[in-house]
Amino acid sequence: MLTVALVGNPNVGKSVLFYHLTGNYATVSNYPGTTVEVSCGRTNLSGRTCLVYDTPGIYSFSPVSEEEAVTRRLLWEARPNLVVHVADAKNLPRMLPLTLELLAAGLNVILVLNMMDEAEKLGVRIRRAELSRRLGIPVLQAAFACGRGLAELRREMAACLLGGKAGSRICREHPLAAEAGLCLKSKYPFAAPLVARLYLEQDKEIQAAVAAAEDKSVLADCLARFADELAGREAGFFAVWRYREAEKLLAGVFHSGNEKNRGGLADKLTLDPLWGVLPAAFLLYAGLYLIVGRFGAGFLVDMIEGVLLGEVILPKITAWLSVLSGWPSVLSLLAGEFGLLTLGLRYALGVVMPIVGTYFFFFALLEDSGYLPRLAYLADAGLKKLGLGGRAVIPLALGFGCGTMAVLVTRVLESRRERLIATFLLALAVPCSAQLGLIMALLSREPSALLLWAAVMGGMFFLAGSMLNLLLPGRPAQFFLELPPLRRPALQAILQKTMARMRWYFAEVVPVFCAVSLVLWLLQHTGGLDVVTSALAPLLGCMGLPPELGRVFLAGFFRRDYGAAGLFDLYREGALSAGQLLVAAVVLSLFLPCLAQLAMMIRERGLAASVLIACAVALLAAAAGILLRILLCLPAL
Amino acid sequence: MLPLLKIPDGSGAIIAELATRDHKVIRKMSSLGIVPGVSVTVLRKSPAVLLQCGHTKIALDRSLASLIYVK
Repeated sequence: MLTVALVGNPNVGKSVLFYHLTGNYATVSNYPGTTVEVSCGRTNLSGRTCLVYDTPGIYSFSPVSEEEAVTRRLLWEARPNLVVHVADAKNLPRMLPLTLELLAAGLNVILVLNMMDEAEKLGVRIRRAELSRRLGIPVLQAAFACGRGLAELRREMAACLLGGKAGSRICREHPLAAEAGLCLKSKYPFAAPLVARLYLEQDKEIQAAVAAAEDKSVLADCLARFADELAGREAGFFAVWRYREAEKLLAGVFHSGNEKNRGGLADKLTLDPLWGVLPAAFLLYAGLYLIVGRFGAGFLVDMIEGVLLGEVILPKITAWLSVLSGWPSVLSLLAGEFGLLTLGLRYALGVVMPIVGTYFFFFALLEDSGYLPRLAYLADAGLKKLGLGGRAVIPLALGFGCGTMAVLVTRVLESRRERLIATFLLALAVPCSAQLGLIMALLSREPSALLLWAAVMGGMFFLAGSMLNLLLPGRPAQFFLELPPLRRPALQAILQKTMARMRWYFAEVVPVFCAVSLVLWLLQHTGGLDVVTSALAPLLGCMGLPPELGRVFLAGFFRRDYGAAGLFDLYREGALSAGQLLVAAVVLSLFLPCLAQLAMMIRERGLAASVLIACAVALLAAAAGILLRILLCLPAL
Repeated sequence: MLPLLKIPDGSGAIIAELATRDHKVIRKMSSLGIVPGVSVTVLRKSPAVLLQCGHTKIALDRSLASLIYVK
């Protein structure tokens, strides 16, 4: 099948184009790192079905972070028949070097100048036809967000793919790289000059590929000679050359318009460390407390779980199921204390869905406004003390929505050390929205308890981060980030994104909820539940907590939000005092990551690191619980 | 030639040199368009350095910004 890859810098509109072409929705937003994996869909071009890849944003063929490496690997391994390079028109001088690299790789390229509407407002003018002639490839203008340029692009794609329109044949590498390319005897997915240049720039993956494919003499003699020559040149020699080439190509073709900084009050409020506290505090209050806490966990949960499910739907189902009264164990599997319907589905749909949904809505709002990169800028100095950089704001903030998703998104961080610290903190001290919503609902009647809970969680976050920063070898990552302009988010885009995340979440969560119900039901029937609960009882006693909490913590391991939901029930039954509730809330929030998150940790960080993290987190949670019990002067049980 | 960090807020300059031979650092800088010959405006230097480069704003921490020399 013919394949097309959408490639370009982060935040230039690739995912919107992907949506228009395939009807699939990869989460799009206004900061780097939303597409951390390659998404794949089908589109129809002049009657032929083509496979379309949406790739994580890259700046160049020399990846800095894991997500960028993903894109280059795709180009190397899948070698698409056509690459659509989506570029931000107003920043073309910064985009064109990547076009040159795509051409140097020998790929068939269409250059799309996207966001023309924004560029035109800034007075940017581009002579498209002349640029197309100079590059030797099709160049199109578009504004995908408002549907402009789509039909033209489809026509051009069809012409390139089916009409056999040949790509550019001009070599887009420096003569030195072209010469070094002659050393290579094997055939590679990219043209030899580019492979040689990446080799000389000490790209680990390319060096390994070349070392595997070539004779030792090629490496030791031929390429080594060029490496020596390069050592005498200025730093970033080839990158500087590409920028010069791009400049030459754009001379007389690109007029930048007015580059004056136009931010004014909005910039002062979002970028000044003193004033910046105001919008951050407002968002914390309005977003987390009002939207997620009061509206999601309060109003929506009451309506859906309390009224709709609790009073209308579940009683009906229970009534229908009474025909099964001859088989009591089947009945209890479906509608008992740990029933698939009464526990699994009720929590998933009634408690977790409204809370997580409202958080994803709030997060989409935050993303599309372009505020997150500014928060990253403000938080950088503070996060450095925890061994992280400003960039870590993105996975950490998403972690308040769903930790599993956040562990995946730690790919935007560049060093292994940083990804490890972020993963640890996500597992320990970042409660997910479902947990957060329930805990806020639980503790909101005791404002002092809520504050204490927040203080303990914050304290653990900083303590664990600083300790890891001290203990782990290496240094905090260097911070660099592009800050997109603040934009007014479009409601439709936010809703689409919220829905896309909800679908992802539900594909993960509902099966786990049902599985947990099943496991708990099995444990209850075989007596295993009592064994585990009584094994946990002494530990819980040290924390001043009653033994019934054992099963809540057990459920909490399967899904954290699930555990919080169990706590919610115990509190409503009046089984806990306010002090005990606080201790339980703290321990449960810190406690092991949920099963889905643990699985993602193993996938992203490896088994050994994940087991270590899980053990450390469990120990810290228990220690914090005991310490808090002593500080609150609660009796041990 | 002088360090970027010595430039007063609000003034423009042309990048002259990156004082490093570390490939990773150079990759990061060039990914953001910070290469010799490009003109930038320093918007602010705390809490981290903020540059206007073409039509975008670029944030860098001081350890990276201290490697940039301008003319």
